[in-house]
Amino acid sequence: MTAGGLALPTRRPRGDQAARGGGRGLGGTFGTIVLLVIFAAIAWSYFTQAKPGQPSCPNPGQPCVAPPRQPTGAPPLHLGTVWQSSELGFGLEYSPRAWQAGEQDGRGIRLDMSPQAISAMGFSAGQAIVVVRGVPASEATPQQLVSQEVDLLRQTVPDIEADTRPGREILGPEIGYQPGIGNVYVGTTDGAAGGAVPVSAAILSASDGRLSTLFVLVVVDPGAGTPQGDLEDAARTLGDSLVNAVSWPGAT
Amino acid sequence: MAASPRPTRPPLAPGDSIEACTRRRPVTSPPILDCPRCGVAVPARAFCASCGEPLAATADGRAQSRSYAAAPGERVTSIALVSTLFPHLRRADMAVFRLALVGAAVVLVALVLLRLHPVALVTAAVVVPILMTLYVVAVDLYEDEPRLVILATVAWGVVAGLVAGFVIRRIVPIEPATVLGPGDGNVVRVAPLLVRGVVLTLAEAALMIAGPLVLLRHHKFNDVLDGATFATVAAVSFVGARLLTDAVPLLGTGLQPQGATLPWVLRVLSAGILTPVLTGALMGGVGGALWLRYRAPVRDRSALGAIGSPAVAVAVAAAGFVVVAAARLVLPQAVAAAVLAILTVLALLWLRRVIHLGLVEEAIEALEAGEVTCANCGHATPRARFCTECGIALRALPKGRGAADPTIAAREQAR
Repeated sequence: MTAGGLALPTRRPRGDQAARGGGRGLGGTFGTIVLLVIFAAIAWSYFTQAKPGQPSCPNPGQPCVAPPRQPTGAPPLHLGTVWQSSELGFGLEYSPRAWQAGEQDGRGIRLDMSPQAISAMGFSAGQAIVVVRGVPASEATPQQLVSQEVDLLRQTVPDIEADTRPGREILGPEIGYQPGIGNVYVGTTDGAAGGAVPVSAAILSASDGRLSTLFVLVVVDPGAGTPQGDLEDAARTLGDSLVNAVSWPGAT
Repeated sequence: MAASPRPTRPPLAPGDSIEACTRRRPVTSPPILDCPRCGVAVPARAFCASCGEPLAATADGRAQSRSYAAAPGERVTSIALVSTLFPHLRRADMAVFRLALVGAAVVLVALVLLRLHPVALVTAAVVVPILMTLYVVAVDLYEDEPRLVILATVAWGVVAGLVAGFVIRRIVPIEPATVLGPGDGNVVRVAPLLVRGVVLTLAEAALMIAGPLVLLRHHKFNDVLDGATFATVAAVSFVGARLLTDAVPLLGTGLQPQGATLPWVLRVLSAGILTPVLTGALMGGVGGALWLRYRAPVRDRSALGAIGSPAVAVAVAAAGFVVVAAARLVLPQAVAAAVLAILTVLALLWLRRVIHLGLVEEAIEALEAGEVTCANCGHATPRARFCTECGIALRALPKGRGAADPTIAAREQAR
């Protein structure tokens, strides 16, 4: 294009043209697309959500059967690895094939579910960890231990809340056959890319008057599943054996 | 007596950098400034080459260098999201995009308040990518090029983000970097931190820029703006698709899963607004540096200083990505969000400098198309719309190169 015999720049100057479709048109297009995405996500979520689980026991809030009692009259038979608290005397026996020992100190230990166990059960994702910890009863009650643990979890699971879905409560909570308290919490943790990863945590605590113990089972991506069930169910089954394998000081 | 015309001033010297041109220089190489009326970067002569505005009172190159070429009312150092991400929009259209961003943020918060957390996260994944796609299509950014180029850039980001998300989800176990410890505190584990915070983060960044790098080979995309635009568009599309792969599995947890509200507000705003803006700005900076080094005129290569070097730009962007990912994995959510916000501001300022340089470069390209002798005053003036010496519209002049009007020439000489 020329004017006055002069060749004008070939590039059209920027900023002197309205955007294609006009401002309102763009806003309308954007709003329409966002609304479509919202409706699609709602529909997807509605049709793919898991059906609420039915309580496995006939009486809501009550255990199906009486909780097991600690065997007596025979020395313990240790088939797994035994960890003993050097400071407080309580102990824990775990299967080294199912659990790997992580950090530990004189009052507690963390166990990670081994990748072999996770893959052997058919899961391709997710992780489960168990933390067992004790304090002298004079330092904290079971309620205080649970509260402290929820606060600690909140640092990595910022939206943690008690799981109020039916059929999710812990019936007859006990640690090492010692009755206590327990609850299930759910939330999400931040992914490195900005997303969210679901987390569930079962927290139990009990005391014998001299010692208060805490048992925490955290499952990351609990919905990761196979046709036979999800990781949370599998981790709870393994964790149930573990929580019975806690030994109190003086009890052999 | 007819005054003899002033000697012809040479155009910008081939070795001059943009930075140098924005300062006062000898008459042989006039500084560049933004016209106060039209905002176009033009030589600091008597009149604006673009609109004819008298420039004598504002011919201060240092003052000009702080004005942002895409929005003359703002400074290069201003923190402005819309004029940085969408620089080619008119002011009125910028207002629409600003409103769209604010509206989207309000919708995201509303979805969280309705406890539709997964829906909010899915929506957050598409907000900025949709706006960016609408922008590049709406402003006809590459009107002379096949639309395929820009669509391919978007497609690259989307496909690479989806593939990266699904592959990472399948082959890398979800292993939190911060877990409960045996004592009263959490424990940071090095291996997950290195894998998720460093290795995977950098691999994803490399994937984002890989698509735009293909276009670096093409000489027709020879502007700093081209590199910044390609990289920003690909990065924003990638981040949206990547977040979708994280968000969609959450849809299976129910329409209104449990979870406290405030952390979710922080999460969706961080993931939906801050993260794509940060990623787009960092990648835009890298793209701009690459194009500046390999496609821009030699004289401009030092225009951005050290950050204009591709090696430095890549290192800075990589550090930014790693810091944000590590903060998410290790720090409490509010602190990580604060880190993300601070880095986003810094990255925006970087991208703004790149875009400003690109726009000034475009203006100089146009002005360097050559000089003509103004038929009105007889002075040399860039091939533009207005004579920089007497302010007359060149289009208004006759096609032939008649002699200059001696009266006007004498008045101009006296001035």
